[in-house]
Amino acid sequence: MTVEAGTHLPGAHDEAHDANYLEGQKGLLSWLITLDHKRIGIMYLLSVVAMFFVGGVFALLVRTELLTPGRTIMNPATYNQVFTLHGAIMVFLFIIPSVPAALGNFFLPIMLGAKDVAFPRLNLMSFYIYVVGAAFAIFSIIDKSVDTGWTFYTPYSSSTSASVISMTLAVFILGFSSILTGVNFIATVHKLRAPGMHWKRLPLFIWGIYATSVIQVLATPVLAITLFLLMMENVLTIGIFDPRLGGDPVLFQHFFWFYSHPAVYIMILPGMAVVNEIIATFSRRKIFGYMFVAMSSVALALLGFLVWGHHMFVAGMSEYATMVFSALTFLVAIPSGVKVFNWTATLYNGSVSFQSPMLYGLAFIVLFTIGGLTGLFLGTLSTDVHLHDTYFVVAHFHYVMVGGTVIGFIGGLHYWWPKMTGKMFDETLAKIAFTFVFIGFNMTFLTQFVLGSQGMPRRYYDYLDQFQPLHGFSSIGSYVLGVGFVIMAYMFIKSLLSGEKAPANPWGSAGYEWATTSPPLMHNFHHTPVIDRGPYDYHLATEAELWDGFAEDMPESMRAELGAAGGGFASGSGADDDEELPPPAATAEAEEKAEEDKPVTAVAASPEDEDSESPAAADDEGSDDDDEGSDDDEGSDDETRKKKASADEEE
Amino acid sequence: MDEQTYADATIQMPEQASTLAPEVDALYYDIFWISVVFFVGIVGAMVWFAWKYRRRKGVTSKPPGHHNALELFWTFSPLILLAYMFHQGFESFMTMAVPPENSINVRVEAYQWGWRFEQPNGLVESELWVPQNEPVRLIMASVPRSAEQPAVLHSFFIPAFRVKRDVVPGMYTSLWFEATRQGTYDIFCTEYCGLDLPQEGQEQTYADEDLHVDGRPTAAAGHSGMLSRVHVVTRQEWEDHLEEGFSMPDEYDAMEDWGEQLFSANGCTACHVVQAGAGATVGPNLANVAGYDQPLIGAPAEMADVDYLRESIREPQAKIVEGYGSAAMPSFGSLPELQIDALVAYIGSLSDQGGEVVEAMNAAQQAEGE
Repeated sequence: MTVEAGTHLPGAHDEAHDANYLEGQKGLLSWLITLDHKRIGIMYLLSVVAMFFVGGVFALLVRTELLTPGRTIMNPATYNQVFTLHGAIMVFLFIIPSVPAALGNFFLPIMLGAKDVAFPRLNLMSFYIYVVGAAFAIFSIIDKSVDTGWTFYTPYSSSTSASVISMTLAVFILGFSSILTGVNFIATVHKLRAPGMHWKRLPLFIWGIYATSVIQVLATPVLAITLFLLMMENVLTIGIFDPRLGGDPVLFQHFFWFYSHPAVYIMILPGMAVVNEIIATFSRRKIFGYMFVAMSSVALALLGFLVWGHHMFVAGMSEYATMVFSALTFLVAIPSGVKVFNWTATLYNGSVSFQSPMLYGLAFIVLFTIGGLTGLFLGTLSTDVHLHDTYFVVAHFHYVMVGGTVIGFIGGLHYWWPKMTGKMFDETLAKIAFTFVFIGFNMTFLTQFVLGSQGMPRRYYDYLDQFQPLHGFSSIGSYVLGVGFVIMAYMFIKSLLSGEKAPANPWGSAGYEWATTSPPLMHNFHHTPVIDRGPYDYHLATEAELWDGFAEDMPESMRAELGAAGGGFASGSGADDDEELPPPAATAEAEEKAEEDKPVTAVAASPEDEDSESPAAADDEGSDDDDEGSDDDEGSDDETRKKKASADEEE
Repeated sequence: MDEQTYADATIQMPEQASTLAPEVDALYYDIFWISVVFFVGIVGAMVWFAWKYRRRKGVTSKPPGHHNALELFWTFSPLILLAYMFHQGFESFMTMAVPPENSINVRVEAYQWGWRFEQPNGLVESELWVPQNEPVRLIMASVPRSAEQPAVLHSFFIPAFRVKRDVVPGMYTSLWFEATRQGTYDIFCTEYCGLDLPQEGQEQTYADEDLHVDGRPTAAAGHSGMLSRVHVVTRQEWEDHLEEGFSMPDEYDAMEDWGEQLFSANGCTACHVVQAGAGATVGPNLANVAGYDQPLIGAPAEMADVDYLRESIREPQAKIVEGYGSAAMPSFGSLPELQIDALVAYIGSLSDQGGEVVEAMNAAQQAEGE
């Protein structure tokens, strides 16, 4: 490690510093009460993967029941509960927290060059709220035999028992966990970016997670309103949703989708965010149209609030409201299209390798394109009348949610696995698993588009005999998909047990997170890094580096010797008061941006204990606050650079 | 419209059997081909670029580019296609929303789990009969299955006509269509409306084979069994059908024969077994009921005579046989008087003590005819 200016003396503390986050502390308790964002990320990861497994088993039960007409393996009552469990678990317990809470928690601070998130205790609290919410949701589904589907439409949901209230409460508890995570991430992105990381250097993963966090903070409170109204209706018998009391059941649908439609973007934006990183790394090229891609995430987040009515075209809304929602829905196609076009253009003139994370990245483009284009049929009013609530819709949102988010999540898991665990995985097995997943997924859901346009309604326990061949084929596809996931699970477990040790940067990525060791140090970096290039600046690397990895990949000692000239993502000095750093290496990029790249001033913050929440330090420079919001004017760049280098050298 | 042709079922779409279908399908295929072009373009470019610029020794990636004109082009040019789709979709949607003034009005009641259609002359049936080439407007309401249950959401869907509309408790919704092809088409419920959950400690009361009869799910399967059919016939056949509903059709010799047909046409078989000694499903086994004492919940046993049976059809909740407290049968009181009599006659014919009931009903029918 580079020891600078005498602020840090080698001592007993060194060992803890050099230990990675997995080995720094031992014992179950050290995990359960950890404030380390990486460990909290891993705990989230284990939870969501467990939920994915449970939800997946229910999915296979549903498909098995639909293998033949009439009863196959379960009675109608069980079936209705099983598909409700599948939907509710997958949506609320798996997809929503999957990328932001698990991968986001782990990588957002590292990619920002920060030591942790802004509020580490809040982060741990949001994890436990998630656990409580998950337990409450599963308990109320099973205890109250909830069989309403994951949408809990009244009046059916209020007729069976008090299930709709307990389920909304569960979803709200889970939502609270999302709100806290969202607040935390927003604060972290605003306040804890490493010196030199202005908004135009923000990795697109961060942009995506940032947009997601904004939605989480704004949309989830609507659930609280819904819950409150349901309780008012139940306790005070004020007619709000119940037509017997003079209420309107369609109003519940408005409330439900006012949260749940933005939630769809909470689900898909992080998937897109991961894919940005994968495509840039494996095509060795900056994402084409970086700012357009970043802004399209923000546009999706905002438009996502305006289109909830497209779930209700045939629900008895006024024709003119319907028209407005249809028109707004079409606008969503624009930022989605911008992303897909730019990803494709990124490959052009790249140097594309086909390692397993990239296969998922490319699969994402294919499947999300299908998911997006089939959305056009549903946004168009007259065709939606025919297709609404049929298997066409089921296929459409599985292409977006599974083909998009889940594939993105799985791709991200492959991509960052070496970083998270410090182990490589068996690439051949990973590719075999990918093949099964890709083929199985398409067998299952491409078939369902045809089922739907032929008129097969969704949420049916049983169907007319004429639909059997397509249902049978779809079910067989789901088994192929299941086999793919089993192979993948085996591949990951094998990697944990006997995987080869991962280098710091196995894919040769220019992303900031690869600059630290695999697995990362407890405090992510020895020194607060100083960012003097973008996260995708592959053109700043020599050819040898493209093949052999970047300077960050070298042992610390060698890097110190070379002064980390080549890599551009050097560990900067975390220390001396007002010491001016040497100007960045004179590269093409640096020259171009010479104006921006004024010498960076690292303001030393008072040494902090790792537990103390950083905003205290951030408050010192409250004056930046206003500038932080605007993305790239020169003035804010300078301000940004003056951000304190949060001192790693404690004591 | 005379030139309009109506296509048979294709791989993607069911046959076109209404005036709306060709319009919806034309737009569907427009969007389909636009999507195919975009899909092939995007994925084709992706595969081509990925292969052409695959990683090789000595070949590096080119410095990044951005191209604002290109970005603006692909940001804004799709708006033209999107505006086209939106416009066409909205036009057809407004056509669907406004029924022609000369439409035949049919009232529809949706309950858990079936449909009732009331023709303009008051005939109520569980399947819909409509004349060919005439606009028909459905005015739909959701009704509770029984007094204790709330009415819930349903949705009325005929794939062959490309029409769908939710049926919402507390309000009337409507849709219209003009059927163009004679034939019989399926009606589905597409808004999830649940199932009777077995009560605590209660066994499943129906046999598995009752869930799926003649290639169709039955009402025992709840939402997925909430099916019906629409029969498109000539104007003359439709008028005859409406008349026949009020008198016994000629093809039947006796009320109990007609009753047997009505028994299955109204979906009674979904819940009632009629073979003696065959056990029971959702509702009581109706063999050997007429003429026997029925043990009732909260009331002294009563003999199942004509009045008892009529009441059980009109107001099923008035007297409930022991063991069926949770099974809430909907009322069939909106059936024409004579059809209820025919059903009573049929139930009478299922019992070795039912001769009196059958005789009384046939006598009543003859009295009506004279």
